[in-house]
Amino acid sequence: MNAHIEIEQLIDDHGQELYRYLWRMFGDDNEAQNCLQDTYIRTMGALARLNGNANYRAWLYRIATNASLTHLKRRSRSHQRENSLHPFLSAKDPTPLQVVTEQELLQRVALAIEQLPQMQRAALTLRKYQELSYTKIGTALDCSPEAARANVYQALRKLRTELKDEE
Amino acid sequence: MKNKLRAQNKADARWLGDAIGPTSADPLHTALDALFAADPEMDSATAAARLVRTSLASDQAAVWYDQAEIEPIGNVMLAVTVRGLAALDFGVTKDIFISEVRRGLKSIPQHNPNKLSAIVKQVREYLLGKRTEFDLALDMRLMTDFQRTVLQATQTVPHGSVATYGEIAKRIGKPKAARAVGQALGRNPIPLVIPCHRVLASDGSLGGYSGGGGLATKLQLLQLEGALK
Repeated sequence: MNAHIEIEQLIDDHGQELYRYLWRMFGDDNEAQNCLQDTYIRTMGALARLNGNANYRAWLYRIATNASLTHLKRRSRSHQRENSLHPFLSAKDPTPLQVVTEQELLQRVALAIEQLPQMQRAALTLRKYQELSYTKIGTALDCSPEAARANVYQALRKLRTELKDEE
Repeated sequence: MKNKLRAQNKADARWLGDAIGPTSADPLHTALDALFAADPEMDSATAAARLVRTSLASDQAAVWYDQAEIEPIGNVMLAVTVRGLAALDFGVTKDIFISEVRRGLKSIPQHNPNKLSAIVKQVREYLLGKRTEFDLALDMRLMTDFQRTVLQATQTVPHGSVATYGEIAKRIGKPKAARAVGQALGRNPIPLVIPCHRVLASDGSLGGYSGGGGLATKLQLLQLEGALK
């Protein structure tokens, strides 16, 4: 078995997808890049265990998630997403008040996401935006598919509570 | 209230793709989509993957080694990779050390004192009694999974104190594995830095030590740390 070829193939097959996942977790190009590098360095160490495992994709997500948790812990709490505040507008011809209200909502949701437990945040991202099955999310987060599902719904419930509390 | 929660859950399920049905406007869903659904530029994802590929290719295979004369244990051999310190040994010849590292990491170690100088400095300070903790990244690939678990547990035994094989076995959730713990410690590829010398037999006797100088070295290290009066 040649580990060198394996790792290159894993980068070619999944590197971009993982980058997009990490980019969503961090909202920052640099952090996503660093973390992707870290993910593949960790993957090299785990290759012996991964080999023969059909589910590389879920495993890579697991390693990427673990790497992102380390990075997120290191990052200061005050850090805010940078890409988060481009406008979204639900009305076609919004009044200035609507624009302000929606910007505020966006900011509050962005902040609430930062405060979610990491497992919940990762689970929600994986389900909704990386479109992984609950089985794969379970592998990625080292939990059962049921727990993976529970984490996604808890994340949504928690976000709703946070938003309500501030009103 | 309950009904409202249930309806909310259903709406969430449809939005997540867990249930089929029309999705209705929900401010939280809209906000999340606005925050997350935007993809980074395709170019930056491609560039990121390419960058990782190039830097791993040049670094991943490299192993660097050096040796240093450090009192009181003599000639110390060390090998490091991009991940961290992979092997340390004393009381062995350079040839044996290099061939073991090469076999374990499947790469020919290159002599490179620069890559090791910071580590050598810490080992020197430790053996002079001026350092109680190592601040080093470790490459744990030369260990089996079980050994890694045992050695990680061993790392939590602080300078100046000791544990027994049985205690480590308990700590890793395998209370009956004291003997296997002893064997795993005996094959510690990074002695001194991973303090296997702090683990003793349950009857308080020293147990074993596979490092150069054998039990005399273990005794010497424990005295240096003040764990034995």
